[in-house]
Amino acid sequence: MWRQEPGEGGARVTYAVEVPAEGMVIDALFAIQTQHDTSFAFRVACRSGICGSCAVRIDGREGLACQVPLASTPDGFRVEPLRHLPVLRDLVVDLSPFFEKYGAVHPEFRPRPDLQEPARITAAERGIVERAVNCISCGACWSACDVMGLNPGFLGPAALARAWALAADVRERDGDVRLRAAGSRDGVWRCHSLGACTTVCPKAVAPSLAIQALRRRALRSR
Amino acid sequence: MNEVAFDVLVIGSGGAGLMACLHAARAEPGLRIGLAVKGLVGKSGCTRMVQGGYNAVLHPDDSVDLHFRDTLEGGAYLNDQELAWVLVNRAPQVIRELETRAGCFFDRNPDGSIHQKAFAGQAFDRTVHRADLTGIEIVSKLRDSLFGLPQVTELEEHRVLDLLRGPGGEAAGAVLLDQRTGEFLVARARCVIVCTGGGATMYRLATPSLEKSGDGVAMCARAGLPCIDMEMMQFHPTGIVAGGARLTGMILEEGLRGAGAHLRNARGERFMARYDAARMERSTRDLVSRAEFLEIQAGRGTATGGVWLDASHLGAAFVASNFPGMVERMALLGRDLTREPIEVTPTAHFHMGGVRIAVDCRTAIPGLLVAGEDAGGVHGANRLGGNGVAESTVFGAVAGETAAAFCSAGGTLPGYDRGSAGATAARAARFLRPGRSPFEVRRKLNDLMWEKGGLVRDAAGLESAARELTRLGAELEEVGVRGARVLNPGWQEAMNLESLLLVAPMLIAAAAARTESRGSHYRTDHPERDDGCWLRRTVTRWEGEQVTVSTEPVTLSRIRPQEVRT
Repeated sequence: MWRQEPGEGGARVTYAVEVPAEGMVIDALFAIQTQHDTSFAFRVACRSGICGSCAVRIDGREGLACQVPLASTPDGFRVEPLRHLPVLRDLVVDLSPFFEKYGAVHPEFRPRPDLQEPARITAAERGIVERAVNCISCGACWSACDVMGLNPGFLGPAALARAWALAADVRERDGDVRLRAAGSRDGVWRCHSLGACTTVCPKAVAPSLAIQALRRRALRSR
Repeated sequence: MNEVAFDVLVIGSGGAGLMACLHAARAEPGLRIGLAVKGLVGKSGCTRMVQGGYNAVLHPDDSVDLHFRDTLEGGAYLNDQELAWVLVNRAPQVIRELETRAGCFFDRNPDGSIHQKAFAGQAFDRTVHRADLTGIEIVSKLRDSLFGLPQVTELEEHRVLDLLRGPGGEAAGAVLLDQRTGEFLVARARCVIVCTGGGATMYRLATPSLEKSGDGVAMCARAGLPCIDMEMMQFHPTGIVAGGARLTGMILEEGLRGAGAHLRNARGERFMARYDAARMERSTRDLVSRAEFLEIQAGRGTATGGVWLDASHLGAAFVASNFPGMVERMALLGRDLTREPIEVTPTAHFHMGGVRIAVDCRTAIPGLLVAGEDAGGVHGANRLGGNGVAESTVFGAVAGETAAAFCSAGGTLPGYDRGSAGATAARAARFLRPGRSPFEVRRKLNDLMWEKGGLVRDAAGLESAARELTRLGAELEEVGVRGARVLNPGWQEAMNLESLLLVAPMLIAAAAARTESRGSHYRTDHPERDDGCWLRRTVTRWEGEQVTVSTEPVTLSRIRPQEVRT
């Protein structure tokens, strides 16, 4: 486990704990908290893969602690906080940089003025954005992205996936605003197409596909 | 203590809190709004965890009258009919708003219109959804909407410790703990909206988000506000059984039963035939949960104390395409929902009881509004699946509008008593000492409530529960936590426990007072529903060190029980 007191450097500490047979990594974190140290800090809320609070790195790979079975790591495992974000304490990171970038693409829906009733949506129209709208903003993709480490200005995979979800939404008024944000200096052209974001996403959002789609749109509009 | 000031302080960022912000800001764009949440905005609370969906009348063959009757029949006529009327009438507006203003993308029929599915206890298929994980869609989009509202200041990982009162007793703000710094903070406000969610987490098996602890009801009770029908705690019938893992108690969604999944005991019998032969598995949650509990108690449960939920006869392809989230959840545990029966148990889910509110969410304290699960009355003795997210979003919107009207009617920021703010902070800080683990006392509370205050109750058990709760209250004073103040989960747990230990005695006292069985409240010593004596609500409050209970008649302002039975 990564242990880090506020304002200090961190270090790995190894624990042996009793865990339930059907447990997930989150159960091991709780076991440390209840069996060893009540001050061991990690985030958790829904414990069912819905809220995205518990994203961490497990043996170097990003995932939701509540969705990784202990049975998949029978010989023990290493848990560390997400990368490219300041650590507040132990496994808890400050997500502000992530949400600042997310906010930069104007993630709020801006309806067309004529949208008074729920729109008739065809399966094809919906299929375009189906994956991108499933984002739970857990930050796993941000941590997995090597470009994020090299270019802290990069908007990052989640923000770009949101930009795509809105740019491609037939009900949206300001798709252009998102295309411009995504096409900016720190947008889609920074991506090196390594695909780590898509590999680790616990919700199969596939940000790299969204980034490709945004690039195609941007090229077409040039 | 540092101070911040707002016009409106919203406590909680589930469906109610987010809608309150949006509607207050829309009604009065100049308002400064503070949004305080003990977790992360949009990630804590239970609206996000909604699986099945959202009941709203959209189809021309459906009617709000029918939805109203279903809600009252489901609630065994204990509902505050005026609150239920607001719910059914505003739910369709809110669904439209979520689609056309927040950008939610609910599932569609082949013709492109919104799809509505079957849910238990309802006469019409009116549950709007996005596959089987509807809450993510709603809360993610509401949370995104906040990015367009610079007048909303988010106070994340800020736990509200208690409400502050002005010189005339009016709401004046709250005392908070900024968990990221470990420092206390006063948030002053002209209007405060409490919407933190309920305390079903006081039970051993429970569905809610783990950080929830009935803080809203606790702070209102501490302020002396009356709570109604506190005995009404809903148990959901299809909780997952997963040993000691935290996933235990998490639910498989209601729509499975709506779609035709069967429940069987260990002998392979569809036992619902004994309890509700007409509706079988599509009966209401209270009846199905109790039936399961009684089957298990009678020795007809599985070896690990559950019953079987079987959807395999619906066809693997149907189950996989309609319940992908549930299939994925079971796959994590190595089980195949599409092809094999799954072991399930009743699990504490939702508190129907709560703070007494008016139809505009006002309470007896001027400037203090309550919305969502913290409030009582909407659902009566049992909530229909799909009415919970409707309640939180509808009444969140109502509270936001009331707050805006309240603030625009004039008035200034009330003063507050620094002494009482300091005392609140000192009370929270008392846990920063060597002492017993809060997790250990919490486990005792959860076991006690499960065994004596749960699905099946009687006078002796409730009496003993009340005594044991007093003892746990004393144990709370021995709790202490180590480590720095910043993001200290042990300290948080001590405060969670403190809230739950205020709510649980109210529940037990109300359950002891109601000498009948109705909805989710079942007494083996009073097993029948008694409309002659008990079309009454319990009113519970803390007065000093005592919980007092009184009763008053339910106002049957729109319909009476016999008018529906035909």
